[in-house]
Amino acid sequence: METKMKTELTIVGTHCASCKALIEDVSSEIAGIISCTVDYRTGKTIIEHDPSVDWKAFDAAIAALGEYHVER
Amino acid sequence: MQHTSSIERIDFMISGMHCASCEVLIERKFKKIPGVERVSVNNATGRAKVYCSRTPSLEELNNAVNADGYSVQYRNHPPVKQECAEPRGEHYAEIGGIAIIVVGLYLIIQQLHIAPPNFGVSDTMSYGFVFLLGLIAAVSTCLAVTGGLLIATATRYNERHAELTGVQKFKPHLYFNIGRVVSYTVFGAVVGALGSVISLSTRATGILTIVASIVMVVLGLQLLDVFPFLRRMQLKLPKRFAHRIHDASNSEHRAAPFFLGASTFFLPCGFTQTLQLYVLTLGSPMRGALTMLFFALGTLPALMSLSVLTSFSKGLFLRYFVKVAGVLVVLMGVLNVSGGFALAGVPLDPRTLFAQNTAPATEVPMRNGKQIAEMRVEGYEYYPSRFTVKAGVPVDWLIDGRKAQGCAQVLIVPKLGITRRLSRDAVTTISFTPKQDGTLEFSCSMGMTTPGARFTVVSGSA
Repeated sequence: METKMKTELTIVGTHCASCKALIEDVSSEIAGIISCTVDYRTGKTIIEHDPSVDWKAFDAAIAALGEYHVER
Repeated sequence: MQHTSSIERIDFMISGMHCASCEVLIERKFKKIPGVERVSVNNATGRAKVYCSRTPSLEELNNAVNADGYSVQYRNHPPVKQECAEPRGEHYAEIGGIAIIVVGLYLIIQQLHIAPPNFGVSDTMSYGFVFLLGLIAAVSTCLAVTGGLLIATATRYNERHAELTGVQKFKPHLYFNIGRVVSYTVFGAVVGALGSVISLSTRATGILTIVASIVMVVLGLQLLDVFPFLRRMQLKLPKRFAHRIHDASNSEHRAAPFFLGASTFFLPCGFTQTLQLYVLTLGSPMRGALTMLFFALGTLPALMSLSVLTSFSKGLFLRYFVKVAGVLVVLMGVLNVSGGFALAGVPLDPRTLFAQNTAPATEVPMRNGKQIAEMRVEGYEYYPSRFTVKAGVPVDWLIDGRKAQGCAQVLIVPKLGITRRLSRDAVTTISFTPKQDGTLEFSCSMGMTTPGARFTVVSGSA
């Protein structure tokens, strides 16, 4: 139960609802991420995840989209 | 006909796309449908090429992307383009509001006369004073062209490469400014050594100003995203290669901004032109170099703050910054283009549409066989600004430039090939003899002074 954690970070480069949908879709495929909510106006992103989440894979997946990068 | 191994291509039309993220999103969603092997989506044409081993139904495709606001039709169905999620009305209202605020501030600042009226290039200046001059010049309309181009190109670059970190975005700015300082110093020395001003002809300066202004207006409108069709003018890297930017050779990223910065020496700027004429009188490469160096250093704080803002802002602030920058760049472009027309000697000066110079021409008195035209320069205005002179009779033009500001400290008469720095301590005299009937327009070196200022030459016998 208490394995669920919440992390807040900023994804720079979001500008519209498609960015939000795209990032949330990509995040759902990263092992350990339970949910991801992006505010595309500010880039603020709230992620619910297991402690074991692979942040490197997450950052790489976001960067691979070409338009964004993650800031903490 | 059932060949499970063969892949066929089916084209669909997709409505609701507006950007590269839409493309990637739809490609991802479609690929999750069983039988779909490869997808290629183009948001500009609205076309999706679906390569599949099993033909997905229209319903399957729609189910995959409807939730994100897209709809799929068969190919013969024309796509409906949709704009960004941000409602257009709100977008235009925001731009309008920002434009009103910016213009209001501009008018207020103009009224306040922040620059001390007697602040300008005088005949003897300490380097500290030249540095102060740079500080003032950078926040005046003088460096509008440099600053405007810097913001516009940088913001476009940053928008396209949002994945870069602030420091990565800031680096080109650094090289840009290094290039500027180096070129100012070098050219300062050259001017001092050669004893002649390095600048383009008045007409070329005018044309350069017009081109730069048009570029600024287009870039500004692109930033504001007012006309969706302008987006097609942008150069876009294939999205799959965008992230390779990081690995791109660094030398290229250094040289381009360096030379761009260095070339700003030739951009029309009243202060640099005035300083060049000043350096000329020094007649020393060393002092010329130092004067220009201190001036360039003085302009650094303002330009670097712009760089920091464009490089490190993000989120909501970035959104508003881009809009404010867009409005500013468009306004500066529009203001500049009129000066460019005046310099290029184009008879139709767009400014006369807004500010008609209806001042009656002043008849000049004769003294010792010469026509004496007396004129005061206050700020950026000429009093009086229109004279009538007779052809074939020498003219002594006595100009009191003690209250001239910015570029108004340099007076040019394109048709006579005259470029003269006005003294801050005494009356400057320009002597010439009008040869034939017609008009001799004059203005400051940026074409920003009283519109329609000129001599009207009439036949001497009349």
